[in-house]
Amino acid sequence: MVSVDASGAPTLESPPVSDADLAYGDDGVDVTLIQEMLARTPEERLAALESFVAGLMELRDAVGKPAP
Amino acid sequence: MPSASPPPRPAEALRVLLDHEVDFLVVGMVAAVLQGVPAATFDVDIVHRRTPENVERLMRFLASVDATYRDRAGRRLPPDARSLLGTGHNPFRTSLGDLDALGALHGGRGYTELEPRSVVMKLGGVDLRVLSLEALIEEKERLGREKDLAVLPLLRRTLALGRGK
Repeated sequence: MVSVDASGAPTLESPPVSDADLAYGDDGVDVTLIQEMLARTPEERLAALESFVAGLMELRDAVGKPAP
Repeated sequence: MPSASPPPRPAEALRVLLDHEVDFLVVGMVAAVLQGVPAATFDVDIVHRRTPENVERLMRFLASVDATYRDRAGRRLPPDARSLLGTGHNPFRTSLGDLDALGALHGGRGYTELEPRSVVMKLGGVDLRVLSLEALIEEKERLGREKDLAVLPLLRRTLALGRGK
């Protein structure tokens, strides 16, 4: 059973989730990421890829620059 | 040193390929992403039909995106139709990101052999042929390189979860 506060949000005292609820499968793959991708259309999947890669390139460029 | 790669725009690259009526199928990790695999990749891999007419259409596409071969020495080499008619790999840098045009996959399997192992998806309302996840897994198992083996658990799990839907 999950403890909730007055607003209905789970409290910090909630018991830990069971292994079955965790994101990772026994092969180490994050199943929740796959579920999210499968829920998208192929075009949305490509958009997610582009957005992620653009973010990585932005991060790479930011890290490569000296602080002002 | 090769020139810096522009931000990849795989969706636009595939749309422009379709606009040019190139016969091709998507392979590699973009094929995996299209089928729900949560992975990142920086280039688009395609296998094109190696007929003179199709290579001509592919050459027109490549000209439209300012393609040059990615070259370790940094030379700006234009696409070569003779090379595109062969079974080798043609790694291009384009204005829409890096794109590799492969004459064939491992074992010499080209467009004709791979087409029955592909699935058709819609991109902007147009049919897009994509190497099936099953065939992609088999290909990576065959290649057996570390970089291929590393993604197999992700591909297999996505295939299993997708089948359960």
